[in-house]
Amino acid sequence: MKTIQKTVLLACILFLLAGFWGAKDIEASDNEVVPVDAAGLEKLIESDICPLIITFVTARCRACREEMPVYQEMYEQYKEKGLEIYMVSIDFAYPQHIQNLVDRLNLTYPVFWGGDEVMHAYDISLVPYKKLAMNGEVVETAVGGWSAREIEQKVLELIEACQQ
Amino acid sequence: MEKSGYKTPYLLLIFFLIVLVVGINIGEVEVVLEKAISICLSCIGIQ
Amino acid sequence: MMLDLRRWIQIVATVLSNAWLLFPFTGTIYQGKLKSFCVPGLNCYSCPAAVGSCPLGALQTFMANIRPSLTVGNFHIGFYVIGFLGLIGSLVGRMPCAWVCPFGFMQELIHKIPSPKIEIPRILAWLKYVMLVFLVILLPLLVVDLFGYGENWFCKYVCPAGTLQAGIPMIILQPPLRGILGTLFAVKLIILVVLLVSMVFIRRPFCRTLCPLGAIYSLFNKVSVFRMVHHPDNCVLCKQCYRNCPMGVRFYEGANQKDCIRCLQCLRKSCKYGAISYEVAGALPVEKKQPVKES
Repeated sequence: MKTIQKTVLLACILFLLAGFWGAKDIEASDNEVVPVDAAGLEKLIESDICPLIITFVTARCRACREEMPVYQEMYEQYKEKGLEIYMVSIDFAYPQHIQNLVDRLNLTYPVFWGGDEVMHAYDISLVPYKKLAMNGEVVETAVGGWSAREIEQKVLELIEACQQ
Repeated sequence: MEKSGYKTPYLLLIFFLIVLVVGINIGEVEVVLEKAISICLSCIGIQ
Repeated sequence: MMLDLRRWIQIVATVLSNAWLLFPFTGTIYQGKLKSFCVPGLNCYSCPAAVGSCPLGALQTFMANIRPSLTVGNFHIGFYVIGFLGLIGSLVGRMPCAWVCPFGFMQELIHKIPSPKIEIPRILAWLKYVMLVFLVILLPLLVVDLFGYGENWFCKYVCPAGTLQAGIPMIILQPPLRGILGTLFAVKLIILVVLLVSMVFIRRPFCRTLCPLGAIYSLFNKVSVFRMVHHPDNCVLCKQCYRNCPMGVRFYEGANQKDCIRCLQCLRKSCKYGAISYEVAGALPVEKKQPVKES
């Protein structure tokens, strides 16, 4: 019985230490996450940007995190051709989690925080969730993660469609 | 039949009740809710 | 045939934990506030019908997100779920497995299919503790990506309840998902099918060998308020309790074993000798059966 108690105690201590390890400070970037509500987001979509990719994410969703650097690359590469990317976090309660990721990944495209209001407004139950829009009109809604190649293909397709 | 140890369940009850109340007070209920109402694909083995 | 009380409670609990019956119309899961609460049994919260959270899934999520939470200044390490499970455990031990767990209920129903029944080696019972320690706690906690996020290892790689309740219904409800199915889903499907088939031949195979939730509750069996009692003086070692036990527990070897789920089947249906009873807070129940003298 003694050994069991000791093991449990040791496990608890290890558990706490493991939690602290890796929780370090990071430098804040200039790209600050902007809170947005459903109406505000609707206005953002209704612009003449072509093409516009809006990705709805949560910080803890792995597939979302994997897509972020790919979007960053696309954004840098195709910005001049009219591509705009908005990322909307639907994390609950606070935007810190997504800000943390933005800082670490040095994302430069606009990032918004919509919380559960936006989540309910758009009926999102699966992330990553994307809306692809051309000149204010949503042309495609997709769920699930995309690979880097799929994203690039989609971006090129959209840019071509926009130039016509 | 075990005669001793009738106090242990109550001590455990009190301990876990405190843990539960602490959890609620630091806002963990919302974390559970957040997790439960959005399907994370990797969690159900799809991706 | 009259259903006994336990069956009724199992049915009611299964329906209550999966009471969102509008999902065929909405095509998605229930997203209301009720999901702030965990259910006591194993019931996937990504199931379209689920109205509560799975305590195991919630616990893994806390483990997997400890570092990012601490980074932004939140001390969210799962007190809520640990407290909830501990509270139930110290009250009734592993009782929820027998009375309210939908997955356990399903295993009992499937086991009713007539077939030769087989027993599993006892050593497999330890596997669920391996699952608990590694897949639910350590791996989600320690295997993290660049940003400190871990993964729900048990949900992702093993949980058959997730595949059955969430994976399969979601790919039916949301056709776009079919395009992104991969090896992982195939593996989980195989685990599910193997378990479903083994349920016909083996009593509650998942509960006994794999379930980390049962493993957590089982730790409380010996110290809970509600406890089983064995009266060795009355026991004639007829082993009828073992034959009728949905978990294959040899009650005559001792009360409150790790795999005892307090379904009371042995007490109510098996033992004719008054060798089995229960106690609440150290007091024996008034309706304790008198031993039947063999003539």
